Amino acid sequence: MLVVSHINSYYDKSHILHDLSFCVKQGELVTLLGRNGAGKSTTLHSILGLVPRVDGDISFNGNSILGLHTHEIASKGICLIPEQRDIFQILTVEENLQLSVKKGSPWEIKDIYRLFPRLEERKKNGGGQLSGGEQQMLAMARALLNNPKILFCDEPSEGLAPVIVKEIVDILREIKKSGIPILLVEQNLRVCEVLADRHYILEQGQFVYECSQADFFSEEAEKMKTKYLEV
Amino acid sequence: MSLYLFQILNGVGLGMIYFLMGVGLTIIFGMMNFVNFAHGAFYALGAYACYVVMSITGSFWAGLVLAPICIGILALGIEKVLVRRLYAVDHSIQILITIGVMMMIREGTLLIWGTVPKSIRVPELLAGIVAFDDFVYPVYRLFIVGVTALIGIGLWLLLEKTRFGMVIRAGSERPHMVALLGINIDKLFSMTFIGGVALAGVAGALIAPIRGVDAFMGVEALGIAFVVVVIGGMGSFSGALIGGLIVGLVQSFTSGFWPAGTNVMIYSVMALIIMFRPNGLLGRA
Ligand SMILES: Nc1ncnc2c1ncn2[C@@H]1O[C@H](COP(=O)(O)OP(=O)(O)O)[C@@H](O)[C@H]1O
Ligand SMILES: [Mg+2]
Repeated sequence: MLVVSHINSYYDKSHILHDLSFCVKQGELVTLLGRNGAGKSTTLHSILGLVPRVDGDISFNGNSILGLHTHEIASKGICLIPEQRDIFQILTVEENLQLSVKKGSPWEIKDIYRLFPRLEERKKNGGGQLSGGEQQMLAMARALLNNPKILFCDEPSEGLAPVIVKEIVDILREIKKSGIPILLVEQNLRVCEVLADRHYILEQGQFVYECSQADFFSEEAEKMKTKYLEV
Repeated sequence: MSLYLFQILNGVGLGMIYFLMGVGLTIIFGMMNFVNFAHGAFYALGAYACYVVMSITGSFWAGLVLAPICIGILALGIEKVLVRRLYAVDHSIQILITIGVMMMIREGTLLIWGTVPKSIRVPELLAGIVAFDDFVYPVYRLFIVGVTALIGIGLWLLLEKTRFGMVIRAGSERPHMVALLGINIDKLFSMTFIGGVALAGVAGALIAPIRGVDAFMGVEALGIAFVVVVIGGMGSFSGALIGGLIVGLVQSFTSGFWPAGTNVMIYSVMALIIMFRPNGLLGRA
């Protein structure tokens, strides 16, 4: 459903992504792995129209989306949960949610409060007063309310305590069960292993390895992980 | 006592006019990261528009209502052909180009209306004075305080209590994230620009009967609007209100004992405030 073919992305004069091709199919959870600076976030941003120059082709459900405005791409149901969470700090938690509500979404605010009881307790608080974990939950909640057809999740576990990470994993699993495909960027391999169907490894803006979950523990995959993921 | 009251009322009236100037500038900056040096020129044009409508219709009220609408329509055109191409460029380029727009507007008004200031007569209904005991005060100045307060409340309700306002506030903090939620940020930008500029037009029309109308009022107001925004904090609505009132009151009190020194005092107060709060009273880092 999401097909990225031969994209090259640039920030000003620096060429960040080199001839990247991949796809995410209906119901799949696919991971993008790689060290810091490998180009994972840039890949997500390229699809969403946030990178100034992207060449190649990107299509979603059969229609080309390259060159559309970010809000047009988002309206097609490509929802990003950003690495920095990007919570609106001057809005309350509730307003952050209200702003994201879109007609037709399988999730409404009451479903969100069931999934994330913490957010209901905090609904009158300002977005700036939340802990890291709460911010991550709010960022996920926003994406769910926004009628997602595919979710991009950029390092959801970054900087969070293990108990919170477990909660986040449970939510991702539940989203996946509902049939919505997910493109997950994650450094925590444990998180990837328990959720993913397929993996791609990025290094300096190029794919160096690709495998299914079944092959993720093969000898070759272990070698690749050691070579490209260990710090 | 009544002298102080007089100066306070004057200061509040002026301050609210400055608030109308500053709020547009600050929201446009906060949201689009756009520095608009032509803001004062639109204020002057608001005053001229009021003058023109009034000389055609004979009604100040028609001028007051139509002036911001004319300025808004002009802003719509300028945003479409020019300003929207500038949101992404460097501040220095924005400043150069908007100074160009400002000069074109100023020279245009000089060509059309000449150098002799125009005056606008206060309508019959507001022409008198109010008197309490020994205290007398012009009705029109009270009218300014009332109208600007109403506009301020209306704006506050719009920003705080409506979905549209929520989108504006969110957009002034993280425009990209708003776009990522599927909201047309470009449309929001142009509406904000038009609204902000139209408020400058209202301010110009309101001040016209007191100050008179000439081509140089824009530059004067631009400087003050920037002081207001710097004092209050870039991007902050309440900051523009507080900043406007501070500048208005400082100006009003200084003119009581040192008329030539009002600008010196205003800029000193600004310097003092940003020494302790570099982002302004209510600005964020
Ligand atoms: N806004 C930007 N402007 C210029 N260069 C950028 C920008 N964002 C990222 N980069 C560069 O692109 C490369 C990839 O970054 P990124 O996609 O954020 O990596 P990752 O998400 O894999 O850690 C890095 O070298 C980074 O410096
Ligand atoms: Mg990243």
